Formats: sequence, structure tokens, C-alpha cells
Amino acid sequence: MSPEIRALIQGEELHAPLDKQSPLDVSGLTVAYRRTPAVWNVDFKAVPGSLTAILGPNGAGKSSFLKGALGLVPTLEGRIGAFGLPINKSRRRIAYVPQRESVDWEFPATALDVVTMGLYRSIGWFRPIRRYHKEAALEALAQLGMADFASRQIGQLSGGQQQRVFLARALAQDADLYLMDEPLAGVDAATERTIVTLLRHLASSGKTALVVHHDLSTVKEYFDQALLLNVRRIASGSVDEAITEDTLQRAYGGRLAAPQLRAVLS
Amino acid sequence: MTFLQIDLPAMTLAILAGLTAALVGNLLILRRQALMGDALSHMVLPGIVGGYVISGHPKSWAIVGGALLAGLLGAGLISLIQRLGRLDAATAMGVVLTTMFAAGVLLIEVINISGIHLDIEHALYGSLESVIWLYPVGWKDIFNPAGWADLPREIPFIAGTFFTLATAFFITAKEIRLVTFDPSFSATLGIPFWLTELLINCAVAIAVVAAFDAVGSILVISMLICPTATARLITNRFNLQIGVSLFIAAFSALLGYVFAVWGAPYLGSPGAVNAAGGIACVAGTILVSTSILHVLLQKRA
Amino acid sequence: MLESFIGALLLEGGYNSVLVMVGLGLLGAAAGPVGTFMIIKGRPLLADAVAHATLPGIAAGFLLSLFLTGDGRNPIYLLVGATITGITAAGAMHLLKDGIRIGEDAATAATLSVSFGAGVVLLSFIQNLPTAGQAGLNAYLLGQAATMTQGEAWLVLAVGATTLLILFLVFKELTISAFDPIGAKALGLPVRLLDLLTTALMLLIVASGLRAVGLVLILALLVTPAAAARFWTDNITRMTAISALLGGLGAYLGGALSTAISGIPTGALIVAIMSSVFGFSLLFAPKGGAIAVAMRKHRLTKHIQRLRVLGRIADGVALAELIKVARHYGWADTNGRPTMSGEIAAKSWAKEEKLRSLYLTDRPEEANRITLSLMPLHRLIPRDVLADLERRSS
Repeated sequence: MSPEIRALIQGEELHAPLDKQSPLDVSGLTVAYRRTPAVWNVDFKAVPGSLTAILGPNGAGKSSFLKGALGLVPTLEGRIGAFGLPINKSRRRIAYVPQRESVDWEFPATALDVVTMGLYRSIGWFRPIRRYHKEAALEALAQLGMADFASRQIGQLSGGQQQRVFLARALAQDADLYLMDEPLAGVDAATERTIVTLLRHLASSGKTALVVHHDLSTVKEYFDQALLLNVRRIASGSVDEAITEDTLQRAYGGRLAAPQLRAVLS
Repeated sequence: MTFLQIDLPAMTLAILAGLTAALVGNLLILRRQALMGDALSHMVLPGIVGGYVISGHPKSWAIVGGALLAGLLGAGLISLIQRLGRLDAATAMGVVLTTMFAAGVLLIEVINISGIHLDIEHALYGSLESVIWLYPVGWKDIFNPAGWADLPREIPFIAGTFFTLATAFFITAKEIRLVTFDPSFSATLGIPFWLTELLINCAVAIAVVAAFDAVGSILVISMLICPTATARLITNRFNLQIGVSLFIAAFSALLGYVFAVWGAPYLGSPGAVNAAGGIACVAGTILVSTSILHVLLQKRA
Repeated sequence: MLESFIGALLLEGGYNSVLVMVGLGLLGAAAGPVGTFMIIKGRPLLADAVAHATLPGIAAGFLLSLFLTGDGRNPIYLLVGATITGITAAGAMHLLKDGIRIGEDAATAATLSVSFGAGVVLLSFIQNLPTAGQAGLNAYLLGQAATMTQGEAWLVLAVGATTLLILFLVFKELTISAFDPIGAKALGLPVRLLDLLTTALMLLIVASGLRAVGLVLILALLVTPAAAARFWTDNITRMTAISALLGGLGAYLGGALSTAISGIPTGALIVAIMSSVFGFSLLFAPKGGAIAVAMRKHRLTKHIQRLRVLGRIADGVALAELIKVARHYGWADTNGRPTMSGEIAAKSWAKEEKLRSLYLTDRPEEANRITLSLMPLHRLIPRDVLADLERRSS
């Protein structure tokens, strides 16, 4: 194999050097897996300590972007780094909150069981769960106002409460980068406030969160950075930079009515 | 004393087969992949036949190896077909399980020509009835280690399988809970999808082969699915789920055997009926009556 | 063996085997489309549960016929028994599935194995009876076309022809209601009735095919050709037609093979042929086959890598840094200076990118189609639209 082709295969020269500072440095991420919306050649660097909204119309590849970055779906191309290391070497510092619909909530587990899963790496594989692990999990639940529901079977919780359990699990991981897939979708107003408060708390303690978000009207209020996707990257940067009439038009086109557009931009 | 020589070993085998199948059946039911049990129990057939051909006798590790290989090959094919054909899992399973089962049947036909005997009925119904332990004449003989060497080979084989799987299950209970509940989260913790799939499919394939002698390839599905699905209706606790499913499996095996051997004559049969089929019927009856009860209770609440 | 196979193919076998082969061909041709509809409706393995559930019906039919006529092997009794327990299983599955937490897949697996268990019990009951003549029942497990009586052969032929005729008459309605039930309702079609008809046709195919194909493997008749057709086209009408063709051909060839090789279960032979056709489709189908998909993936990867190199050149990354890759494509010379072709490539890349992004600004909903295509934009959009874009970009 010629060195040129080897370089091509390893992608050495296709990507800029890994950013040592950025919590998530994605270069050229391309996902074209059957049945998942595509992501095409997306470059993105997360700003440390920021709250970033991932926005775009349905089928724009927002979830695929997160899953591709985490290696949960096969990627055609792309170099993913986190905290200056390849993503596989920094998994300990990353917490992932999947979409609520992605699991079976009838599963025989309590809220505490689920939150304890966030501690599995620190407990260690095949080691027993000790009491202090349960206490740590309980504390994470309490932070989301769910301490009273710890022993409830997860199927008996409301949608908002289930989302809180998922966030408590991520919190228990004590990560530095949080990747969340639609945590605010279909939750009640109180849960939305709790989650947003949690996000702000995370950001103020220097952590970074990337959140797939669907509600354009709250972006400016909740987030400081944005990544606008429609298969390709349309725009990224601070919310004011990334979300303009022009970029929204390019992402959503006719799917966004004019009054909606004005509401977002005002 | 035909009880000690025929019924006791057969009952022991049936119970152990039920326990083994129900244990791994939990992995399938909790992941809502019950049909993978259907698929694997069909797909291991060519592997079992192949292992038989290589080793030359019906109880050997070559058979387990062959079954594992066939099961994994089939599982790989299913996911490939699913991905390439944009087909759902059940369709891909339908294609692969018929293909591999037919391959097993053809292989059996070819072998029978070359003189080794393995018949298709054994593969379909199992051969619980052919298990015989000649040694014991009285109850005391059961505990005499000298007679254990005479035990039908099926029994130590499946007992070993059950205890190995149960130990593995016990050690990895925490991890099993994680990967069955949320595989994408567990992938971010460093247990990739393929590893989860591989280990679960291996466990199911091993259990299927071990239980194969007792109940055959199709009835093993009922031991994988019915007790575990029943337990799902009864409890919401993970540990209880496993315990209840094991209990129901052992109970169905016992009751099914008793029904087939001693109950059938009362229903007009001149002799005992097929015990494996009887066990499947009992397991199914328990499932159906539990789900009816469940629906009634929920309506009341 | 080869001679007798070719002879059978040319319908030179006995009267019975010709009947069986033609009957199987028709049945297979009907099973393909019905299988396609079942897959679309998300119930591909219902046929498997129903097929296994016919075993107790067959055994019960045998007992009844033995009791009433003194001979157990009256195919009408067996067929009626099979149909009744088949329908019962479909109903039971429906109930179990809605039984709160069991889920459809567990319901299918449980129904399949438990009803098969009931059948096994009844079969062993029959074997205990002193009366002779029960040996024939094993043919229903894996199929034995060679030993079919003339009556049984005619039955397959008649059912095959009838289902095919029904399919022919309401093909359009069935297709629409399977692929687009909401649209079909809007057109005023009786969607539920058509749904029931599909299930009834499936039952009919399963029940009548049992004797020849066997209940363990008859699923392949419905699922395999339908799944194979998926690899050849995305067009639903064509897909259904291809499944009929593959199903008919596979069953016909399998029938011919089993008349040529006696003693081997027909079901296994038919599945062997069907699965070979499927395997061929999986590998070699020009659009959806494994080889085509792998090649497309490879091209996409290469394409995106080239784009990235050109993109980095455009971003002002010194060509010297990229020298290996750029030289690989002939875009730079040994000193790292852009070659003629490098300049042309970079220019045309920049132009194409500009046009694409302009087009997607107008039509963001086309992002998936346009972005994932390797073809230049002028092959993807109408000429006048392109001309308009070019005018605006300059």
C-alpha cells in the first residue's frame, strides 16, 4: 500500500489537527446509514463551558449527528475527538442522554436502578453495587426532585419524570461533556424549568452540554451556542450569529412559516 | 421400579432443560426480542448436525461448537439482510431461519445416506422418552456415586450448562440489566452493540443446544418464551423476574411430564403422549391464564 | 438424477407430478405478493405461527375422520382441521399481543411453539392408537410432494389458481391498502375488509401448501420471494410483481427437484431454491444488493475525502501540508505547487458547492437527496432551474 493511500485511509490529511481545548471536536462527520437521516461532512467544535443547541428540521440528522459522534451508528468518514483525545479514550468524561423513546419503559427496573447505571464505570465491571453507590445515585435523583420516586418502577412514572430519571443518570456519571437527545421533548413545564436550571448549573460549573432541541422559540433564552443542521452544517457559533433569517431559511425553507420566523428572531 | 429408571431421569432432564431455557429466555424477553429465540432454535440445526458428523456421536462439544457457529452465522446474516434490504428484523429472521433449518434437514438426509443415524423427528420433538438410567433399583441407589457414572450423558451435560450459565448470569447481573435496558447508553460506556448481541446470541444458542435433546428445536421456544413472558406479567422487579421465570419453567416441566405420562391415559390415550409437547402445553396454559388474570385485575384496578 | 430433473421441468413426469409442479408454481406466485403485503403490514411471521398451529388441527382432523369414516387420511378433514386451528392461533395471537406487556414478538413465539406442542401431543396420541395409516401425517411437517394423491395435487392446483385469480382481480386495491392505508381510506376503499382478505389468502396458501411444503418451512414461500424482491426495486407495483415471479419460479423448480430426488422433504428443497434466489438477489441486485451498496459506500467515502482535501485547500491550508493526498489525486506536483488539474478541480469544486448551497437554500427539504448523490448537480435538477441558479450565483 502506498503511503498516500494509507494516509487517505487513516484520514490524516483530511482533517485539521485535533483541538486540545474543545470538549468535542468533530471533523468531516458523515453518516449515511440506511434508515437514519444523513449527516454530511459536518465540522463542529464545542466551546468549553457552553450550552449548545443542535437545531434543524425533522430528518436533518440532529440525532444522527450525536450518535455518529459517539460511534453509536456506523460513520462513512469523520474524526471525532473529545478533550484533545480520540473519543474512545475520553468516554469517561462524556455522558449521553438518549431519546426517551429509545428504551422500553416497561422494563423491570426502578428509578434508582436506572440512575445507578450512570455509576457503572466508577463501580467497575462485574463488581457489586455498594450502599454508597446507591446513596450517590439517590443524591443525583434528589437534584432533579425525584428522591421520592426512587423505588418506583420506571413504567409508572410520567414522561417528564422519566426524562428526569435519564438526566439524573447522566448527572451521576459526573462527566464534563453532556450529549442530550431531545431532553425537552414532550415534558411538562415544571420539568422543562428543572432541566434548564440543571443545564445552567452544569454550564456555570464549567461543564459543556450539547442538546438536540426542537423548540426554536426558546433557543435564545436557554442556550448560548447553536449548531444548525440540515444534513450539512448550515451554521454554528453563538446563538445570535448562527440563527438569522438567512440561516433559518436555509435550514427549514418553506417548513417554517413567516410568523414563526419573526417570533424566533425578535 | 421403572419410575427411577425411566421417569426420574426424564423428569430431571426436562426440568434442567426448562431452567436453562428460561434463564436465557429472560435476555430475549427483556430486550423484546422473543423472535430471536424462534430464529436461533431453528438456525442451530445445521450446526448440530455438522457437529454430529464431525464427532460421530450425539453428545459432544463439537455439537455445541457447531451450534454456536451456526447460530452466530445466522444472527450475522439476519442483521446484514436487515440493513441491506431495509427489512424489519422479523422478515430477515423468517428468511434466515427457514434457510438454515432446511440446510439442517438436507444435511440429515445426506448423512442418513452415509449411514449415521439422526432423524428429523428427534430434531423436531426431542427424545425425552429415550433417556434411561439403568443403575438404580431402589431409592437409595440414587445417592450412590457409583451409579452416577451410568447417568444418561444428557443429564450431566445440561446440568453443567445450566450451572455455567447461571454462574455467568449471577456475576454479570448488573451488566445484563444495563445492556438489556439501554444498549445505546451501554455502548457509550464502552460495551459496544456487537458485543452485547454476540454474547446474548451465544447464551441463547448454548441453551438451545443443551435443551435440544429434551424438547427438540421447536418446543424449546416455548421454554424460552412462556415462563419468562409469564414472569413479566407477575413482577416488576428484576431479580424476581428471573426467579419467577425459573420457578415457572421447572413447574411446567414437572407438571407437563406428569400430565403426559400419567395423565394422558385418563383422557383416553392407550399410552403416554409426547412429554415435550405436554410441557409446552402446560407452559402455554400458564401464560394464557396469567395474561387473562392480568387483564381482569387491571380492569378492576 | 439430472435427466429426471430436466424431464420434470419439461413436464414429462407423471400426471401427478405435473399437477403438483404446476400447482406449486401457481401457489408460489400467489404467495409472493401476499407475503409482500404481510411484510408491509408488519406481520411477516404471522404465517409461521399459523403454519405451526395447523399441526393440532391436522391431528384432530385425522382423529375425526378416523372416527367418522374409518380412514384418517381424508385430506378434506385434515385441511378443515388445519384451517380451524390456524385461524384460532391467529386470533389467540391477537389477544395475547394486546394482553398488556407480552408484546407481539413474544406472542408470536409463544403461539407458534405451544400450538406446535399441542400438535405433537395429539400426534403421539394417534401413534398410540392401534389403527394403521398414521404414517402419512409426517408428510405434513416437511412436505412430501412425491407421495401426494391426485386429489391432493388437484387441491393445491385449485387453491393456487383461485388465490392468484383473486389477487389479479383486486391487485390494485390490495397494493394501495397495504402500502398506504390512509390514502386508501381516503379513496373510499374498504381497508379493513382488504386487510382481512390478505390474511385469509395467507391462511389459504398455508393450509393448502402444507401437504407439499410442510408446516415447518412454508413460511419461506411467503417471506423469501417478497424479501428478495426488495433488493431489485423500490417501486411497489414492480416489487410485488417480482415477488410473484420469484415465488412461482422457486416453487416450480423446487417441485421439479423433489420429483427428481425422491425421499427428501419437498419443503427443504423448495427452501433451498428460494434461498438461493434470495442469496443471489442479496449479493448481485444492481441497486440494493450487497456488492452495489458496498461500492456505493466506497464511492461516497472517497468522494467526501476528496471534498475535504479541496475544502482544506480552499480554507487556505498550505498545499505542502496536504502534499501526499493532493499528489495522489494529481492536484500538486512534488514541490507542493498546484498543478493545472488541481486548479481546475478546486475551481469546479467551489462552483459546484456554491450552486448546491444556493439550490438547497431554495429547497432545504431536498437536502438528503442532493447531498447524498455523487452526481453533479446538473444531473439532479432540471436544466432551467440550474440555469437560474447559475445566473444568480454570478
